Amino acid sequence: MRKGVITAVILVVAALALLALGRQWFGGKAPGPPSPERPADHAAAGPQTRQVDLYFADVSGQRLSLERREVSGESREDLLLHVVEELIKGPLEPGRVRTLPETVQVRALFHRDGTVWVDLGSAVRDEHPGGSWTEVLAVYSVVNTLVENFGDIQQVQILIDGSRSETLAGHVDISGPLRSRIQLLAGDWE
Amino acid sequence: MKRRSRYGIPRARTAAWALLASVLLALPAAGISADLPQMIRFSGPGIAGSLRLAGDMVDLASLMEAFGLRSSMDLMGDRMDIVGEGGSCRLLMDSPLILSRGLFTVLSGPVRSMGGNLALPLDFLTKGLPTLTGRDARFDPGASSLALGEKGSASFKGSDPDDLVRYASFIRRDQYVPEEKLREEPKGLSVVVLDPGHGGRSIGAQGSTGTLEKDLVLSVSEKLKRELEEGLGVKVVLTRTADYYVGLKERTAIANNNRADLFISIHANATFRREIEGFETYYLNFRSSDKEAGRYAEMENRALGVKGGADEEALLEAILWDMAQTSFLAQSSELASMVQDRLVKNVRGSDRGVRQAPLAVLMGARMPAALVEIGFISNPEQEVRLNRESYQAQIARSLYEAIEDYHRGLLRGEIKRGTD
Repeated sequence: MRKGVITAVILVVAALALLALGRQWFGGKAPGPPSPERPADHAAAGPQTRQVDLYFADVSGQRLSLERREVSGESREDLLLHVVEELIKGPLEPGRVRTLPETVQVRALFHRDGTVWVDLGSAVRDEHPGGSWTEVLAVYSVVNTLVENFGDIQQVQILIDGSRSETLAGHVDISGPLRSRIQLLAGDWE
Repeated sequence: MKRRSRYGIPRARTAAWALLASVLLALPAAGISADLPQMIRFSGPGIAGSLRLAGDMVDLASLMEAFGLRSSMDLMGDRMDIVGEGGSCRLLMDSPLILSRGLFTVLSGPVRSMGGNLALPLDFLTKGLPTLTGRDARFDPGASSLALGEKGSASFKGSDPDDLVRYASFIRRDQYVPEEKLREEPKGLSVVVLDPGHGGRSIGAQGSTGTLEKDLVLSVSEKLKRELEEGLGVKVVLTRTADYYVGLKERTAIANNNRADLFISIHANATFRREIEGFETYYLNFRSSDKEAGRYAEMENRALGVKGGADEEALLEAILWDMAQTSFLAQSSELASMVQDRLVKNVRGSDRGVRQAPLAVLMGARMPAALVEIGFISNPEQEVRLNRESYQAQIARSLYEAIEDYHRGLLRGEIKRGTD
């Protein structure tokens, strides 16, 4: 009987807290027009919405190709995680092709001092079709999207199932943190 | 895609040649003699003698004799410790980095093996020798003399270090022919290592009718091995001879341990769109986004926390691994272009070009290396063709011809052997 009362009180308090948080997050301020990144954004907690250019492949399979999309998150890292999830969903517009298997999960994402660690599920290795350049485009769709859209990110370390891996699916070196390769938009390495 | 010249020389190299040309033009104005000195005289309190030059570099043996230095080489033959009265330093083969007292210093060029002897860029005399001998050193390129002083007197005073670097890097490198090479005929290929991609639990790409990349590339590699042994009479080693797993570093190690002249990794392609078919060939890029020079600049004079400790060793390993293939990029680019040219000329399929890519299996290879994608098994038509004996034979024949092209290029002296 006494246990029941305590549980009920805890539930009510938790619900009130959630309501308060929800009001703060969703009712507080309307998302403004996308603005260029400010250093202060990094530290900013709370919901964020950003327009990002997602790096997909083009139909030739030789180049990366951009698609603009609005992405939101409840915190900075949550936003970044959703950006990677949007990449996994694949392109919505014609003329672009997915770079990652649709079954890939983003297990975790951390951002510290300019480096982002993206921990992807093993489907990124097991379900990847293979092919050297297909793998280059897969790796750099993630790296370029994060580095080129967020001014305070310089490099990206891809992890698979929580560990560093020598390659993504047998070809491309992902053992260390990677910088963006913007020339891939033209199909060149550099 | 990189536009290819005959041998696919990257654009960046054009800029490098332009820079070299401008420096060469500037040399007479800088007052540097066009006659290549054979010796450098050195003198200082209680010491005098001369050092042999190996072209535009100083011969390590003469340096060791003159200053009573001792050396030890590690088992892999890629680093050497030199010890003198004043201290010690570590040289890395094919690398411009020297390491002493936990600090990296960048020389104007790599430490190289020339005619069986090790040779060091001339700026080692002022950047490395003072640590070993405990004496400061001032080098006068014009007079080919090295003035040694007591420790503490300033090195480089009255001599612009930039001049020294220019001198060491650029004087008449093209005119230098090691004695041995004058007598020796150009050599063709003798050992080729072929690397059938994937294997065992790593199945690689999979076609819609069940074709597995690992099976296909082994079959083509075996055909190519026979062609090469019969046609060129070279020794051919496969990194795997059946369906088992071999690690990427292990594959490169097999090539290095067999002292291969070429390393070719053979893969089958795949992508998310079934329509895509054709051929692609790759060679390695510079590591990460950084140009080698940039990386050395960063490392220069960077204090390492633990002297001689695990961090330092790990860093050395990484540098050696990077350096290995970097020394052969020009040759690897030529090899990749030859492979692609023969494939698109002889075999039905589109030309998707030659590119640089950060491919793990090519890193650490101490010889020209390329990776060829012999067709898309994600394309149903090409998958069917790839399963035919005749199509596989055509591919093996094209790869054979490319390797023969490379062999002839070496014999005609059109392709240089690289830094080894």
